[in-house]
Amino acid sequence: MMVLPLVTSVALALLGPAGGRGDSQDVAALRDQGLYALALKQAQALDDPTERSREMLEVLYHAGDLAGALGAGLTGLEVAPDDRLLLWRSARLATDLAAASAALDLARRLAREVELLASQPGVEASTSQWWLDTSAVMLEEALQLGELREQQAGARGRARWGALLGLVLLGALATWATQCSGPAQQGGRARV
Amino acid sequence: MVVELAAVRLLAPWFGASTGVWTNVIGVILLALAVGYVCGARLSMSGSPDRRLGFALVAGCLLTAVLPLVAGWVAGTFMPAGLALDEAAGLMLWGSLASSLVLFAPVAALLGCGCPLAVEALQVGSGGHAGTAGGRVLGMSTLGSLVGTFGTTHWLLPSCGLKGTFHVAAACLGLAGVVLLLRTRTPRASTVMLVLVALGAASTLMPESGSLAPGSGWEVLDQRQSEYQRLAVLQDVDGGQRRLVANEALDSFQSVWSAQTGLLGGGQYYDYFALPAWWAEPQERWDVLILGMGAGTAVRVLEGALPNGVELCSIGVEIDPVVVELGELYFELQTDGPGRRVLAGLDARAALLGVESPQDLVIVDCYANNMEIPPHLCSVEFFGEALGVLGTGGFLMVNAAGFGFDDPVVDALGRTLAQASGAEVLALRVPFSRNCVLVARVGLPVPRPGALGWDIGGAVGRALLPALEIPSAWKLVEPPPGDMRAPGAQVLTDDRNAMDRLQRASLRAGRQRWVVGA
Repeated sequence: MMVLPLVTSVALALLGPAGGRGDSQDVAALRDQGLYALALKQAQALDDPTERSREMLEVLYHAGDLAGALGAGLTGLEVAPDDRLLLWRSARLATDLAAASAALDLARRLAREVELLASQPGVEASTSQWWLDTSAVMLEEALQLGELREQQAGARGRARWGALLGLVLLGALATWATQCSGPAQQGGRARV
Repeated sequence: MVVELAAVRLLAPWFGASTGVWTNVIGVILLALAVGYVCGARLSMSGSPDRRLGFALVAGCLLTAVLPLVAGWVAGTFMPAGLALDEAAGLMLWGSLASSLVLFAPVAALLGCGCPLAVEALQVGSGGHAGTAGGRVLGMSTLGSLVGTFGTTHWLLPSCGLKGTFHVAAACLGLAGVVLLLRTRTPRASTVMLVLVALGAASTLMPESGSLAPGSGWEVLDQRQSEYQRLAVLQDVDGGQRRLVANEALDSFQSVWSAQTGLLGGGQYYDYFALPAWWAEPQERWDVLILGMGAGTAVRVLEGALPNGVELCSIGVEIDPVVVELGELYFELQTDGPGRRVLAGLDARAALLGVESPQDLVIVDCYANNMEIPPHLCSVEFFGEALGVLGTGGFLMVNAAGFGFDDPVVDALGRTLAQASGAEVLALRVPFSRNCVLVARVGLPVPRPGALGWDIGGAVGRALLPALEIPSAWKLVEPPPGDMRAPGAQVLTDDRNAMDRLQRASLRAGRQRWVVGA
C-alpha cells in the first residue's frame, strides 16, 4: 500500500501530458509539502472533473483517508469510466480496503481498457507492457480477495448447517432415549 | 467443568473468547449434558449400570484426549484463514457454535450419561431410596465441578497448559472408568487400560493443533496461555518489528515494538498519544497514566516523542500479568525505576482509585478479546473518574476502534466522553487506519485544526498534524442535550450500557458503511 505514491509518478509520466497540468502541479506541490488541507481545496477547485477526481484521490490517499480516496476515484469514474489511472488507483484502494466486489469490478474494467490500449497502433511497447503487468497484478489480487469472500461465505454456510445438524442429532438422541423409557421397561426392575 | 472452561481457550485462536463464544460453548455443553442425562436414564434400565458407567467414562476419556489434536481441523473448517477482524466477526458466533457441537457435545453427552448411571449403580449397590443415591451423586458431582472450576483456572491451565489440561481431565476420566471396569470384572478391562495408557502416551507426543500460525513474513518468538487469553509474540523476518497478539488475532494486535523509540508511523494510533505533550508545552515533566497498557507501546512512543527536556513519568495499568511479563522480555518495557511504574493484574477502573493526581494525560486503551470494550470502562461514570485524576488543562485520550465517525461505537464513545467532560471532544480519524482517537480536555478547549493552539513545531507536528487537517479527518463532538439517562440518549452509563450491541453493529456493517462498494 505504501509503495503506491512511488509508482504514481511513473504512471503519470506514462500517461503523457494532460490538460490543466498547471493546476494539477500546484496540487501536487502542496501535497508533497504535506499541506493536505490546502491541496484538497485546490483539487476540489479544478475544472476538469476527471482531473479533479484524480487529484482528490491522491491528496486523500496521501493524507491517509483511504475510504475517502476510493470514494473520489469512484466519483471520477462515473464521469470518465475508461480512465485507466482512476481505474488502477481505485482498484488498488478497493483491494487494500478489502472491498471485494468493487475491486474485482474495477480490476476487470482496467484489464479491458489495458487490452484496448495494447491493441492501439502507435502506443509505445514499454507503456502498454507496464499497463498490462499492472493490470495483471491487480486482477490477480482482486481474484484472491474474491476467493477469500467465497471461502468466507462457504464457511458461514458450513457453520450454519453444521450447527443445525448437531442440534438435530442431539434432539434425535434425546427423543430416542425418552421414547424407549416407558413404564413396561421400568417395571422390570423393582426398587426397594 | 475442566472441559467446559478449557473449551473456550481451545477455540480462542479461531473464534476469540468473547461473551458470544462463551455463551455458545456453555449452551452446547448444557444441552449435551441434558441429552446425556436422558440417555443415561435409558441406559440405566438394563444391564450393569456401573459397567456402562465405566465404558462411558473410558469413551469420554478418549474423546477428551483427542480434543486438542482435532480442534484445529474442526475450527479451521468453519473459519478460513486470512480474514480481517470485522470480516471474521460474522463467522465467530456460527463457527463457534458448530465447532462446539462437533467437539464438545459428544464428550458432554457421555459425561451426562454418567450421572443417572452412577445413581443407579449406587442404589443397586447400596440399596436405599433413589433420592438418597441421587442426592449423593449430585453432591459429589457439584463438588467435583467446584474443584474443576478453581483448579482449571488457577492451577491446571497456568501449570499444565491447554493440551496438558485436557490430558489431565482425560486421565482422570480414564482412571475412573478403568477402576469401574476392573471392579465389575468386565472382560478385557485390563486390555482397555493398556490401550488407554498407550493412546495417552501417544497423544502427548502429538503436536497441538491450536498453535497460532503467523502470517507470511512473521515468526513466533513466544507463546503463552494466561488466565485471560492466549498470547503470542510475533517478529517480522527482518527483526524490525514485534507484535503481541491475543487469541484469534486476525489483523489486530495488542502491542507493537520497534527498535527505535518515538513515532511508529504507518497508521499506528499510538503515535497520536504524543500530541497533547506538544499542545500543553510542559516545562519539566509529563505525567501519563495508561489504562490498558499492553506491553508498553504507548510508553515507548512517548519516550521518543516528547518535547526536548521533558521527562516522562508513566504509570501503566494492565490487567494481564503475562502481557507485562512478555512486555519486559520482548518489548523493552520497564516495570520500575525512575519515572516508570506498572500496575499489573489490576482492572483499569479499580486502579484509578489508587492513582495519585494530577496527571497530565490519561490514555484509555482497554480492550478484551481484541475487539470488546468492557462496559464498565466506557461509561460516563468511568470517564468522569478518569477525568478526575487530571489537572487543569490535562488530556484524556481514548482509542476508539471503529469504522469512521459514523460508526456506532465511535459515536457512542464520543458522546459519552463529551457528556463526562461537559465540553466538546475532538474525534480524530487515524490516517491509514480504521481507528479513531477521541480527545477531551479538562478546563480548557480542546485544540482543533485551524484554531489557536493546534499548530506545534518539530518533527512530531510535521509528521502527525497535516493529515489530520483535512475535513474528513476530524470532528467535534458536543455533549448531548437533555437527560443522559433518558432512553435513546445514546450515552453509555454504568446502568445502561449497550456497548456489546454497538460493537456487534459496528462489526456487522462497518466496512460496508465505511467503504463505498464494499
